Amino acid sequence: MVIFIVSFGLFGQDVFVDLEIEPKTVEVGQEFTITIKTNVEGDIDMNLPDEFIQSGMRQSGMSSSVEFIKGKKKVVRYSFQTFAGYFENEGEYLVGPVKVQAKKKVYSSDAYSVKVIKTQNMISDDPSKNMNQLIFGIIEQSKKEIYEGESVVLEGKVYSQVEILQIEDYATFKLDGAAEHRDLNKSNQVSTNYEVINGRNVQTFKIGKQLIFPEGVGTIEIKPFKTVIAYTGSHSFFPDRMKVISNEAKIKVKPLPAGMPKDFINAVGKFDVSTQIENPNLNQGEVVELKVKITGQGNLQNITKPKLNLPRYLSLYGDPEVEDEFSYCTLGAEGSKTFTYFIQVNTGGKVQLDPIKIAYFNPETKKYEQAEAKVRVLNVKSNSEDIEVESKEEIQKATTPEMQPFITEFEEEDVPNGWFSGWGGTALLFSPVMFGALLGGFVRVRKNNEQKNLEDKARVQYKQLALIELNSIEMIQDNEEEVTKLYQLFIDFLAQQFKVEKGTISRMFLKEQLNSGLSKASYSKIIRVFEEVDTIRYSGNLDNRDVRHLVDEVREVINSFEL
Amino acid sequence: MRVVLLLIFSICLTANNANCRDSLFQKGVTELSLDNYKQARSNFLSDVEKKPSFVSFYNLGVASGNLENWSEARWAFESALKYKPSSDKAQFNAKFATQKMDEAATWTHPYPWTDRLILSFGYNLWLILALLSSVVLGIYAFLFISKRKVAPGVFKWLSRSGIIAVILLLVSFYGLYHINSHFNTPSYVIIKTNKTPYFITPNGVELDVQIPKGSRIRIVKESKDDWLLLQVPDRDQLWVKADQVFKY
Repeated sequence: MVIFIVSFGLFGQDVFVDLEIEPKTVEVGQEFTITIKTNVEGDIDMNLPDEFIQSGMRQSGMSSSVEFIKGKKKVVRYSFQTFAGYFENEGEYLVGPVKVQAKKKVYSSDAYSVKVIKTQNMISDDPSKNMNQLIFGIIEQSKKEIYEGESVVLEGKVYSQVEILQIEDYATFKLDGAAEHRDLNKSNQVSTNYEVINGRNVQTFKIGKQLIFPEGVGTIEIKPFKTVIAYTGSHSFFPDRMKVISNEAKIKVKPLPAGMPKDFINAVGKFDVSTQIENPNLNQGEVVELKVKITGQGNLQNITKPKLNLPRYLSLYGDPEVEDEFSYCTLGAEGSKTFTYFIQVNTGGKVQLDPIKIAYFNPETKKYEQAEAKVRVLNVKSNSEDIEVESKEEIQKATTPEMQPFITEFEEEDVPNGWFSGWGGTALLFSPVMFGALLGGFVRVRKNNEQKNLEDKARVQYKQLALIELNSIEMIQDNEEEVTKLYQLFIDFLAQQFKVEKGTISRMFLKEQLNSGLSKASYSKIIRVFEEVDTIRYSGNLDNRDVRHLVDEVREVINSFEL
Repeated sequence: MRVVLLLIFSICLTANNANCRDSLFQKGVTELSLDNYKQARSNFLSDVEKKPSFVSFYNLGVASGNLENWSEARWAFESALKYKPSSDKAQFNAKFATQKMDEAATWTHPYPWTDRLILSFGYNLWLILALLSSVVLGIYAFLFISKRKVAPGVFKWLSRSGIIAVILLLVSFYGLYHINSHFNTPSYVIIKTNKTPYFITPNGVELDVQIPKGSRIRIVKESKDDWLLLQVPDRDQLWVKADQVFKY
């Protein structure tokens, strides 16, 4: 909160408290000026954000201006206070309102929002190439190429390898062609920094920041800026002086692309439109004030009035009044421009005007864009002495919409390509499933084959083992032991061959195997061996019998199994 | 060497065609901005024949509308909607053209909301979904058929995602099929004139039927010899020669 005290007489004037901020869009760290004007005597209380940093001194004083009030010249006296400051972070900050506490009443101004944007990137030549000079200047520019109507920011930067004492006789850069120049910084306000270039400490400062709107198209040369720098001399008590002439730069101004919409208002930037009607209820024959407000940023100062499509019973009175409310910042002219049209309504009833359309070129999207605003319906009280009655058709015409305009930019569309249409496409889409199934089948077959091979190998091995064991059984002298072991070996072998448990091997089971590949001859031999073994084992005179032939029969059976 | 030369030649030819297409569109836009609607119409007609697109059809509609050829304008705007069914501008202008021919006519969107929903996802998204779900199912099919053992967590994940993948594959396949037929099969005709002849069968007896110029009629079938079977509302089906109507 800031409190000041103002005291002087009002001299019978209308009271006012005005707050002026210039500019309202600034870069981080860029100064802006706040001016308070009032003719009210009292304490001034102003709302300032905590982030606001005041720079420099506050100036105050008295001033007067001549104004026309009710057709008479009147001198308006007021006090003013001016101070500058900046913000260190991006964002939008509300500044104001200013309140003046007079005896029993509080007078208040409007509040304004200050938009703080990030510092613009500037393009410049490489300073390290100039390090053979003690002091040198380089022109920095925000863009190398712009569209017709677009703005560019230019700024001078001075590099010094000696201690700078004073800057004198600054002459700004000039464009080799017509252009509109707007100062963004005062040339006599500079702050220096230190930078390291090629390992050397260099003192730098920026000067003469300007917003330029070049006129015409083509390549425009930017002539150097000049200044005289006083610096600490090495051999003298007095400072030395050096005239610095910066490099030259170039900027290419491209024409706007073809396909300019018919509602184009020569605007280049980003804009919007709104409308306002002060007196929508009126009598036939009266004049209505239609305010069309164009807001945005770009070449707002150069835009032309939007075209109105009025039916015959609405007549336009002269050119519209233009009210400018914009300031210049690094983005161009930012704010609004209001066109007030005076339209006489020569019909009764409800009158609907066509929406107000504007078209502008947006350099960011490189396209023509459109904005439109609807207009409030007019309620017109019909005049009893109606001079001219408009036909129904004409009244209709005022409300009939038009076709939407054509499109200038070609856009690629997400439409089917030939690859995935028809049966080929279906097959292609399902190919991962089919491939997975085929691969799975292949892996499974391969696995089964491997399993079978292993089993076959095991069976061969077992057969060989069985034959070796048969040889060892032949060596046994005890008939009972020999027959028992032979029987066990035979059952084991058969269980292995048929891949079943030993208990499963029976005459019934073997008979069933005749259908599953067991030959009749082998079956007969196996059954014969079983019967003989049973006969020998259960006949009672085992010791006196010759069991050698049984071993041979079992060997024959084992050998008969084809693998 | 011959193959390389042929490849370079075909690339140049493709680039040339692309430039030609682009230049037709740009010429059309320039003519429109100069209010030369006849020339603009001619440029955009060639453009939509070479490579139909939303903007070419839309601008053709604007040119035709300015030439007061409202049935052609309606056809062009509704053809543009085929490529971008959600375009407010094209819908507005299609309605505008329809009501220019008959003030009392009510205009409805040619494509139902289900079609618009499917189209709004875009062909590429459906394609990606179909391919992804197909790959997941391919992995699933491989593991199932090969009887390969996987970790229990992976199996659980696979069995859950398998069901989703089946549904997703079917839905996305339907989406792709639908978009393909949307772009490759004409759905409607716009009647060119009030004197368009209609027939019982192709090359058969002419019917004493008059359908108002600019009406939109659904196509039931398209024969190979350029005859179209139309389903006229509240009437029987009738045949018309394809060059007597605007189809899209």
